[in-house]
Formats: sequence, structure tokens, C-alpha cells
Amino acid sequence: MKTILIFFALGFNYFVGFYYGAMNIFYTALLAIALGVILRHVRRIKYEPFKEYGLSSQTPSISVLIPAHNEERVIVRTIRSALAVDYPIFEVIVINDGSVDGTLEAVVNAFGLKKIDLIYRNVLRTRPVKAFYSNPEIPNLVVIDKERSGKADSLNCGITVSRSPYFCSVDADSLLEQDSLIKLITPIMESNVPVIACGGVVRIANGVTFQGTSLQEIDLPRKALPMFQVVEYARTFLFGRMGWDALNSLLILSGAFSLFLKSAVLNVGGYRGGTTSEDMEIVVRLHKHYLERKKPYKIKFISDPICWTEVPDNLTMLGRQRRRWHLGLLQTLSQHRSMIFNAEYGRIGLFALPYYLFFETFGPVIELMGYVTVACSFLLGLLSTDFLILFLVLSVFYGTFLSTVGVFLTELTYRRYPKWSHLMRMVWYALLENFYYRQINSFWRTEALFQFLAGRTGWEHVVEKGSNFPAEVSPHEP
Amino acid sequence: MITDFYKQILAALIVCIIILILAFFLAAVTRRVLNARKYAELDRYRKWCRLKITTALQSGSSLSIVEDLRAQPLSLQWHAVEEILFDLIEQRKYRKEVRQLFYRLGYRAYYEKKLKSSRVTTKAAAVDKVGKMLSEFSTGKLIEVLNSENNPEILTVTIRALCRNNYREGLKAILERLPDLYGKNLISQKTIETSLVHCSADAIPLLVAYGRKYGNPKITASLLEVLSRLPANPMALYYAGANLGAYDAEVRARAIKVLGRREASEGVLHPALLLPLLEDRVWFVRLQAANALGTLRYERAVDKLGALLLDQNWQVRNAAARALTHIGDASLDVFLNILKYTDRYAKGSICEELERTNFTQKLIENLTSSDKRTHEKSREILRIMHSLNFSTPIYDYLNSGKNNGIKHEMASLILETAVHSAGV
Repeated sequence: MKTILIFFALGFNYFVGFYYGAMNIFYTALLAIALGVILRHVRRIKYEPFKEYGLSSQTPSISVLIPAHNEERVIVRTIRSALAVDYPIFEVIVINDGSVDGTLEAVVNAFGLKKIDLIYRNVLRTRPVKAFYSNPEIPNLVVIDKERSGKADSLNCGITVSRSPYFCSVDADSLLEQDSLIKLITPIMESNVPVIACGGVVRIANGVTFQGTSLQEIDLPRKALPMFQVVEYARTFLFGRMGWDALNSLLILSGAFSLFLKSAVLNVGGYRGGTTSEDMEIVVRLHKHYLERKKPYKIKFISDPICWTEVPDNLTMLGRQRRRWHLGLLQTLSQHRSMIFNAEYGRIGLFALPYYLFFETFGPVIELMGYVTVACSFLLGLLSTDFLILFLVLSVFYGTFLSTVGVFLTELTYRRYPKWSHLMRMVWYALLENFYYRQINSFWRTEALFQFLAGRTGWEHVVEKGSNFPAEVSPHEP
Repeated sequence: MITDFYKQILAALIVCIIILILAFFLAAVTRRVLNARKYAELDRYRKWCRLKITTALQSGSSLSIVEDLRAQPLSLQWHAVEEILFDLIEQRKYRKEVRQLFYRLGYRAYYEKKLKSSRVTTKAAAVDKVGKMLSEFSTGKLIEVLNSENNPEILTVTIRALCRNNYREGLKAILERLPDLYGKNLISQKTIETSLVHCSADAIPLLVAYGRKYGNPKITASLLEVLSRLPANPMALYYAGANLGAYDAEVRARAIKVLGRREASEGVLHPALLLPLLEDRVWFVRLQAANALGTLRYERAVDKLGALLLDQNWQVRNAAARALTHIGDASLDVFLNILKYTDRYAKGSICEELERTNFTQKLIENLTSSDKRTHEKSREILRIMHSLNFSTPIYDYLNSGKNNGIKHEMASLILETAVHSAGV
């Protein structure tokens, strides 16, 4: 029996070694690519024409879609920030998704809205709409009141009502920077190939002070949990997504802030309900649609535009959020499993999706099993103390290295955290996250995998807590 | 079981990673230190330069400060002076002097030299700066770049720079290269159109001449788009008129845009020319035609626009309804006919547009009209709208309107509808 156990432990040790090696080689490659792209982008900013696009009548109009469910506390601020963006022609469509708090009343009172009669052309077969509200003095604001049906259905409702060729989905607890939309449209204006979707950077608003709709002071969160997320978001957005963008293989754009070509989304039937990560699912479906029809297209991510969002600051809410994201990833991969290893889908089928399957889906399980096996191997005398220590130190420092590069990239793009103490704290948390945050994240994601295998499909709702509330952003690793 | 060899590899990897962490951390720290110093000093220079340059410009002695401002290329003073000059060149009154300063301080020569760089970002940045200096003498150099480049990024910046300068030679060079740029897909149509709108009205003859010369639908469509943004001009209107029958739908739609502007209505072409396009086979051409005729308030289009209220495409139906509301009372019959005799969906579209364009307000005001026919028609439209649940304007007026006569009419039409629906 012991021989078999030793045999398995040894085999698994080698497997973990190879798996870990392969994953880190890939991360390093992604990091090198992102570093190159961002350094180049920083030089390009000097002659970027986005300011001219802000004044041009040629710049296509955008509908900003804000689905809201029980967001009474933040919705007015979010709408004001959306209405304050510098963009030639845009409309803001707020979709009240069956809120049972005072969300609708807050919006109606704040903007002096009146009920209007509009026809609802239900092309995307959404749940019924109860009423429309607008104010002739704010002609670019429409509020839709509808039955509760989830974020995907609410976005579909907004798309149906929208009158612009592009729409930008924004979370009800997120604030847009004034030039974020014009920067987001720039790759669309300049590309020879149709850009069907474009995502921007989402930053953490915990700790940040706002004066009305504009940023007053940028500071880091005081609590540890949001601090870990600051480091995580920097890593995810600035080297994860930038790297995938350079490889033209982006599979996720944050639901909190991404722009889509409306006709492309209508062609694929809009957002799909029944998944907990509609932002990833729609992107994968867009890839599938365009690749099957061999139509040229691009899905872009740019490091400039910024949307600020608050993140959970307690373990219960964070756990729910992370389980939901991972469940969404699993659902998306499951729904589109025919694309995986399918040469018809080129780099997406042969490269991006297999990566998500092997490293993102199973990564947390293998990581947790790795901890157990390494501990068992050590107890069984298969591993020397020296080796165990070396392996753990390597693991910790490699994680710290990835996060430090994320922090460095933040410095390169926008030095948004100006104080020295900010830099020191971020680097400190880049090291600390390897001892607690990383493991607990893996645990939640493993839980989600088991929930998925057990047939769970529903959302775990993240409710507001203190001054913070959830972000519907999914910064899947790295 | 684990050999020393593996341990040594792990240890080496750890050392490498620690070195990398330290390198990135130090890079971040160094960058902060250097930037803090750089920007503090730059701010000081900016303050000093702005005061010196603006004082000199205001006193008309800008050339006297050349020696004081002269600096080593890429030094902090160089950057500060450059920033201030770029800022000031935006003000028309200082433009000539600032151009001179750019020349005498060596900026123009420096960046013109950089136009030969093989690095894309360096070259593009130089093109951008040379363009911003608005110098006629640099146009030739920019044209050289335009003609020799195939990199989309550099081409985009060059075209923008040439358009910003707004010199005839630059525009001519862009138009000469346009077939090649579009043919090889080197630049997006949007970039060309966004840049060319910087041209002044003087450019219209040249745009039209090149449009005629090429006859390429993509180019024609782009040029028509640009013409639709420039002031109405007989030459542009004739050119657009000639393209109304083009085979390419995009060209037809954009030709309509040129003709369908208010200022074009006093031009040389009659709006009746647009009528056949209301029956075009392509929906967005019909949509543009409806928009144009609405903007021009061409009353003779009322019947054909009425027919478009039943178009298969909802955007066209909405555009037609909007156009009819622009035309005003002359559309009442058409609205009434459609609201009486068509399906609920079409009726809904019309009601929606009537509300959206605030035409319901006009209908409500018509309830006090001395013209009995106008009064009756408006009342009937409001009654049908109410029966279709488009009642908000009616209730709003009942709640906050001032004219009791209108309120009385409204109350009676609400009652009529209730009686009608109850089958009494």
C-alpha cells in the first residue's frame, strides 16, 4: 500500500512540477509581451488623436448601458458620472432590473424624470418592460423599469432600446473617467479591420475620494482584502489582458466597462442568460460567430480608459464573487466545449480556450492538491526539507514577481497612486498575497468547480457591505 | 531522491526571480525619483517660458527672446518651450510669430530630421509635431512621408498633420494617394473622413475634382461625407446630385446627406430630386432620404413619407415619422390615415415618434386652432394615441396645463375612448 502511495505521490509531484513550470513559462511570455506593448503604448500616447475624435461628428454615438438591481445608494452618482463624460454623441440607458429598494425612485427624483410611452421592440426576447422614463431637458438619459431577470437580460433590454451603433456596459457601482469613452472608441476609429468589442482598465475605487462625479483624491484602501485586489487587478488588467490582446486572443472583457458593436452582439442573439459570467460568454460567442463565418474582426483591450469600481471588503462577499466568476468560466467553457482544440477556431480554439481549461479551470484544484501532496511527500520522506523549502520559496517569489511587474506596469501607464507609501504598500501586498489571498482564492475556485460538477447554475448574490459593494468584473488569472 | 542538481536549479531560479523583483522594484522607484525631479524642474521652466514668451508676443518683440529660449534638443528647457509654443500656436493672433519661433529655435529642423527615423513611434511623433507647427515649408516633407510610407500608424498621423495644416498641396497629395491607401487597406475610412473635415470650404473644388476623377465608390463616399460636413456650396451640391443615382448604396446615402441640410435648401438643387430615393431598395438610403426631406421640410414628400411609415425596417419607419413631424400640420392627414387603418405595430411606431419629437405638444396646441380641420384632425390623432396607451402627454397637460379649453377637450376625448372601448 505504501509503495502505491509513494508511486502516486512521486508521479503527482512530477506532474505538479511540469504543470507549474508550463504555466509560469506562459505567464512570463505574456508578461514580456505586455511590457513591450505598454512601453510602446506610452510612447504612442503623445500623438494619439483621441482629443480630435472628441470633437468630430464622425465619431460614432455610444449608448452607455447601466443595469441596476437594488443600487439605490450609488446609482445616481453612477449616472451623473456617465452623463459627464466627454464624448460627442452618447445616450445613457439605465435598466432598473426589478429593484425592490428605492433605486427607481432615487433616479426619477434626482433627474426629474417623467414616464414616457415608448414601443419596446423585443428583438432579443427579454422579460417585459414595465415603463420608460425620461426628461426632455436631459434628452440623452432613458430609464427602463423592468421585471427582475438578471444582468444579461437587462443588458439585452438596454441594447434593444439603444439607438447607437455601439454600446458600453457599465456597472451600477462604477464611475467613468471623463475621457474614458473617447479613448475606448479610438481603436475602433483607427482600425482597418472591424473592432467588434473593446475593453478598458477597471481600477478599484475603495479608498478613492470623489467630489461629485470627478476624482478628488486617489488613495489605497485601508483594509487588507481590497488591497490584495488592487494588486490583483493591476496584474490582471495590465499584463494579463494586454498580453492576450497582443496575441489577439482575448476571451474576457470586464462587464463593468466594455464597448461592443451593437450589430455584432445582435447577430449572436445578445447576452445569454443562465450563465454567471455573461461578459466572458458573449466574447467567446462573438469569436465563434466571426471565426465560423471567416469574417475579419478584432476584439481589443486598451490600457488607457479607466473605470473605477468598488470591490468587496469582506471574505463572505469576496468568496461569493469569486465562486460566481469561476462558475461563469466553467459554464462558458462547457457551453463552448466544441471550440476547444478545434482548428476551425484558430488561435482561440487551439490556444486561448485550452489555456483557460488547463490553467484557469483546473489550476486552483491542482494548486490545492499540490499543497497536500507536497506535504504528504514530505511526511513520507519523499521530499527533503531543502527541496520543500526551495520549492515553496520559488513559488512565493514567482507570485511576488508577477504582481511586482503588475505594480510596475501601473507606474508606467498611469501613476495613479502618487505617494511613496502607495508604492511600498503595493509591493508589500504583492509579497503577502502569496501567503493567504492566493490560497483562499484557489479554495473558492475549487469550491466553484465542485458546485459546477454538482449542477449548480445560479448566482450567489454579492450584497453591499459598509461603504463597499461588489464589482461585476472578472479578472481571471493571471 | 531529489538530487542536488535539481536543488541547484531551484536555487538558481529563486536567485534569478529575486533579482528580477528587485530590478522591477528599483525601476519603479528610480522612475518615480527621476520623474519627480524632472517634472518639478519642468514646471519651473514652463512658468518662466510662458511669462517670457507671452510678454514678448504681446509686445511684438518675439524674435528678441530667441537667444534666451534656445536650448539643447530634448533638454528640459527645450520641452518646456515646445509645450508653451504648441499651446500658443492654437491662438490665431500669435500663430505667425510662434511659427517663426519654432523655426528660429531649431524645432522645425530637429523634427524634420526625425522624419527619416526608422522607428515607427519616433517618426510618427515627429510627423505629429511638424504638423502641429503649422508651417507651410514643412508640407513638402510631410508629403514625402505620405508618399513613401506604408505603415498605417505613420500614415494616419501624417494625414492628420497635413489636414491640420490645411495647405492645398497637402490635401492634393492625400487625394492623390487615396486610391492606393484604400486599395491596400492601409488606413480606415473613418480616419480619412475625420481628418479631411479639418479642411476649409476652399478645399471643396479640389475634393469634388478628385471625386470626379476617380469614380471609386469608396473614395466618392468618403468625399461626400466630408462635403456634408463643410458649408453648402453649389459645386458640392451638383456633385452630390450627380451621385444620387450611383450604383453603390453608400454613395447614394452620403449624397443625400450633402443635399439634405437646411442650408442646402436654398441651393441649386430641388428637394424633389430626393423623392425617388424614398423608394430605394436599400434601407439606409430610404432612411437618409426621409431624414433629408424632413430637415428640408418638403411638403410634397408627405405622401411618400407616409408610405414609409409602413416600411419593413423600423429605423426607416421612425425616420419617416420624424420627418413628417418636422413638416408639421401638412402631415396631419397622413398620420391620421395610418393611425386609423394600419396594424397596431405601425401605429405604435408613429405614436412613439410623435411623443419623442414633441409633436404631441403641437397637436395639443392645435386644439385651440381656429382652423376647424386642423383642430379636428389633431384631436382625432390624440384620441387614437390615447386609445393606444400613448397618453402621458395628455395626462401631463391635464395635470399641469394652463388652458382650460384644451383640458376640457382632453377630458372629453378620454371619456370618448372609455365609452368606445366599453362598447357602449
